[in-house]
Formats: sequence, structure tokens, C-alpha cells
Amino acid sequence: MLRLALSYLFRRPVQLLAVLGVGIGLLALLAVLAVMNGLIDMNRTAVRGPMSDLFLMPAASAELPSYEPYRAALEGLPEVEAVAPHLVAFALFDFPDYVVDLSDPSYADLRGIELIGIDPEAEAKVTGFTDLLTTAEKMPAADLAKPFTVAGQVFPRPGVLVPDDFAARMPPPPQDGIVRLSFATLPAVLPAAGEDLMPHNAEVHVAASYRGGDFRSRLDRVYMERSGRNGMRYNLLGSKSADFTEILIKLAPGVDFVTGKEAILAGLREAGITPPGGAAGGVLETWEERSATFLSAIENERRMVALVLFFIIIVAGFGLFATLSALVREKVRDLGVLAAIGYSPLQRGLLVFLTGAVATAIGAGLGLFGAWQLYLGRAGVAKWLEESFGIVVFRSDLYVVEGLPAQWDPQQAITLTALTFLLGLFFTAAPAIRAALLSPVKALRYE
Amino acid sequence: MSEASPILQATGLCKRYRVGSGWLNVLKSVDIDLHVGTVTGLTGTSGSGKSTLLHLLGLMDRPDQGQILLRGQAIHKLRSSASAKVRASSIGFVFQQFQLLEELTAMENVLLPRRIACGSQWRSRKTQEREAAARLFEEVGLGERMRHRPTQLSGGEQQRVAVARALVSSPPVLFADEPTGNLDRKTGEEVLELLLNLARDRGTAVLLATHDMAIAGRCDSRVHLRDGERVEPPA
Repeated sequence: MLRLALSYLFRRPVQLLAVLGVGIGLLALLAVLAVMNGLIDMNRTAVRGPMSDLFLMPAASAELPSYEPYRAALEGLPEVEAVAPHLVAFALFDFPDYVVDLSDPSYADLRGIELIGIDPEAEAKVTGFTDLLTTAEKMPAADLAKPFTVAGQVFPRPGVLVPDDFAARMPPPPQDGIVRLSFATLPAVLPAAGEDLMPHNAEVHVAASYRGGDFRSRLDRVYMERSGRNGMRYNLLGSKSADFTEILIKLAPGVDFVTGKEAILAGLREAGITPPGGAAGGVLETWEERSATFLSAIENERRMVALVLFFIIIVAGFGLFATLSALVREKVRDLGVLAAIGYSPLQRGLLVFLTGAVATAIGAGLGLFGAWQLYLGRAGVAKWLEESFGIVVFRSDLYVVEGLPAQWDPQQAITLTALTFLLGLFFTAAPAIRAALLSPVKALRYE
Repeated sequence: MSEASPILQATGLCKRYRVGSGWLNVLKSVDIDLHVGTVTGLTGTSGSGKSTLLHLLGLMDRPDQGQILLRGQAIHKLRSSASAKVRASSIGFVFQQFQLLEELTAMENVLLPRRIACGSQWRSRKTQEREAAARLFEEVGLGERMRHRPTQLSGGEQQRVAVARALVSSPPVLFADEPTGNLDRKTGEEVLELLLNLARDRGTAVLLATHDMAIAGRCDSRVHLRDGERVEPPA
């Protein structure tokens, strides 16, 4: 039966178009999804940036929370590997050595920064902070152990770390080589109604730059020491400000987010600290939850692309249906002869079903193999497109992407190949049933 | 069952088809017996019901009335799959148009009924079946053309292959519907001679539908149909 099915399938080259249709449909789906996977992975890395596994923002309390009890409670948990405090504030800045007209609307959205106070040693244990420093391009830190130290200061001022992009936009430094920044933040506690609102000002020096390029915020992030003589509290926010605004938590290896969260909440309760969440406010969230809007947007994009491309396979399935229907019509007399020599209706149906199954299997196999080959040779394809036609798949000056990112997901590929095969079988069913129900007498009389 | 008992016996066969709003009675209570090793000629004008009778006896269609017994067993009410099994094991067909499958070689065409009859045992019996089929090819004079496709064979050769296919399972009953109708007289004579000799040698009961009175005259007995009724054959 297989021999006959194969000979029916390969009888005419045009019938192979149905096979190719299935193959090309699956190839397109798998190839585009591989690129989408690569883009998403790249985006996730970029979105995560230096983010830790979990973020804890404390519940509201009568007094501003102190970091120390939190640190003690969290570091005592086996599920937690390390913690680091952040003191986050938003500030306006200026370059005091240059006159910039702040009333100029074109500068309006360039003058704000997110100022993050950190404990460098703790930060390095929790996030990819050190990597950000070592991969900086504009102003690499001279001493990774003391990144906030500014060389050549005559009048010592606190040092800050700025992203590479920010460093690229900075005016050239004056003769002493130190770029100065003036910061202004709002006080931690707002004055009563009617009283003057006075921002806290400070002048800082740019110590080094770090590799930026995450999508989390439109504002530039500037790092500063959280505490001490050069810290944010002493120089900008004042002693009435919070000790910290959030705690970054790195989970121990093998601890998943759910288990980690449960352990942390229990640990805080045990230490007598009101856990975040509920009426008390505060939040304990994963980095994915914090970036949920963006991540779900790109995930939705992948789903939409997959859905649209799957329609190609459905169209190819219709092609298979049309081909097999034509085959049954063309082979009516053969089916009558087979009935006469003893093929049962089921066997006649199986013959057509087998023909369709072989066509689908070959098509799906070709699609899978082609997509895999395309994935392996993607760099060559991108190069060929660029050299032959001047087509750049992803322009690095427009996208945060170099070359043609792709990630092959074997489970995804096998699932979609199996789905394609099942879809092909579905479209094969109708012609097969028709062949089975064909009256042998009518079939033999068919001209 | 005695020696004289027919291998296939049909009694009171009726068949009608709907034509427009009315019915057309194609067969009207036809009786027929086929005996081992005998050739029965089935004659009648076009539309007399010859092909319909062959289809009913060959279990390709069901009679509206009447019964068909094969070796004394009723086979006219079998389900489609059971009918197919009976056809595979006990009935051979030779058609006017040869009806070989173009995609298969002559040998593969001849082996088709054996594949169905052997079912899951085909793999173990393959060599044996091929050898038997090759011997049959020698008997029909096509020993050198087993690997040819039907399109590479002449009409006479194709019909010889069709005869080999019909007899490869040594069925007790063979139906031939105008087997020489598409061949020139000389070739038709040769093919007919071959068919009758092989069938008689194997003790196969043959029902041979034909327009040709000369061919009918060479049969052991005759059944003549007129407007769906069995009547005395013309002299």
C-alpha cells in the first residue's frame, strides 16, 4: 500500500507542490519563531539589565524603615543568597561649567535622572553591577573596588556613575578633567501646605561610566553611594529621608521565584517585620513582574506572529486537500479496480490517507530540516542579503540588535512539526473518506 | 455439496435503479448457476443487464431481491469489508479496459490480490508468492515483461497481465466482462484461448459476458439476457 501511495504521490511534479507548500509553511513558521525567540531572549536580557531576582519595597509604617533589620532577616534565610539596598530618588541635573537654558523645551525631557543610591559591595553580589562597570566603553572605572572614587580632585565631592549614553552627551571636561554635575532633588518629607518647597542641591563629580542600554526607564540612571560622607542621604536627601526605598534580593541557586517569595514573607514575619502586600502597601515582586508590561508585549508579538504564520500552514493544508481530492477524482477507476480485487472500503480510504500522510510527513520533515539549516546558517544568510541586495535585517543604529539573533527551541520546533503533521492528516481525512465510500460499480464505470 | 452442485448459485436476482422520478428494473428475477471448470457465456444486447449481473455476482453491488450462494454459503448480504474478503479470496475479474494500475509494474499488478489475501503474512510469503506469480507470467507468455509498466505493454499483453492478476489467487469463480472487446480479432482470439485454458486447468468457474456470438459459442453453456430477464439463447 505504501508503494502505491508513494507512486501516486510522485506521479506528477505538480503534486509535489502540495508537499512543498507544507514544507515552506513550516519552514517560515519555525525560522521566524527562532528569530523571535532570539529577539525576545535579547530583549529579556536588556530589560533585566542589572536587576536582581526579586525586589522588596517595604510596607508602610509609622516610622521610616531602617535597612538593618531587613538585611538581618533576609540574609538569615537559606533561600536568599545576597541582598542589597537601593535608595531611589529623581533629580534634575545641570552641568555647572556650561550655560544651558533650562527653559528650552528641547531639553525638557533630558534634564531628569533616576538617582540610585547603592552599597557597591552588596550591589556587586546581587546584580550584574560589576559587569556593567567592566564593559563600560566611555569612562571605565580605574578601580573596580572603589568605582565612586574620582581621581585628581582638589575639592573632594561625591562621585557618581553615569551610563555610557549619558557620558557620550556630556560636554568636554574643563582643564582638570573632571566633569561636574549639579543635582537637585525634592526633600524626603514635603513641607506643610503654604510653606516653601526647597529642593536639596549638591554638586557631584562623574567618576566613571557603566554600560547602559536597558529599556526599563526613559530616564538615565545615575548611581551614587547610598550612605556615608559621599552618600545620597548626607549630600542630597537629608537625615529625614528613608534609609532605603527597595531591597534587591538574589535567590540561592535552585530556588524558584514562588518558593523564594514564600520564604521571604515568612522570614520577615518571623523577624517581626510587617511583610509587604495587602493594606499595608509595599510589594515583593520578581524582575519579570516588574517588567511585565514590556515582556508581555513582546510575548504577545511572538504569539501574533506564530498565529499569522500558522495560517500559512493552514493554507498549505488546503493545498494538500485540493491535491488529494484531485487524486481521488483522477484515480476513481483505480479505486474501483482495487475494490474488485478485494480492497475493503477501509483499505481504499487508508491508501489515500497514507498518500496524504506521506505528503505531510515529507513536507513537515523538509520544513523542519530547512528551518534548522537556516538557523545554523543564519549568519551567512544575513551576510548574503547584505552583500547581494544591501538588505540589513536589523540595523544596529535603529535596534539594540547586532546581526540576526535567533534561538532554536527544540520543543517548540517538534511541537509545531507535530501540529503541522496532524493538520495535514486532518485535511487528508475528507478525500480518504470519499475514497472509502466510493461505489465500486460507479468507480469502474467512471470515465 | 455433491460434485454436480454449482460453486456459485444465484436465484431470483432483482436490481432496479432510480431514474429521475421513476425506477428502472435492470434485472428481473434472474437465476444462474456456475459450475467448477465450466465456462458460461453471458450474452445480451447493450443494456440487457449483463454488467449489472456481473457486479451483483461479484459482490460489487447488492441485489434488491434474490440470493447468491458461494459453495452453499449466502454471500449477498455480507457487509462491505466481508464482501471485499470474499472477492480477494474467491473471485477474479477481467475487464474490457484491462484496468491495470499504471503506477505499478506488471508483476506488482499481478501480486496485488495476493498482498490483500496474505495480509500480515505477506512479508514471510513474499518470495513464494513472487515465484508463483513468475510461473503464471510464463504461462501467459510474458515471462520477459514482468518488470514493465502497463504503458510499455501492448493491449493484448495488458489483457494477459489482467488475466494473470485474476487467476493468481486461483479463485473458484472468475468474471470476465467483454475481455476481448478492446482487442483486434487475432489478439482477442489468443487472449480468449489463454483465459479459457487457464481457467479450465484450474477448475475455475467462468462467467464470460460478450456480444460476440462466436465467442459465446465456444462456452460450455450460455445465459442470455433480454431487458433484464433470462431468456432462451438465440440459436
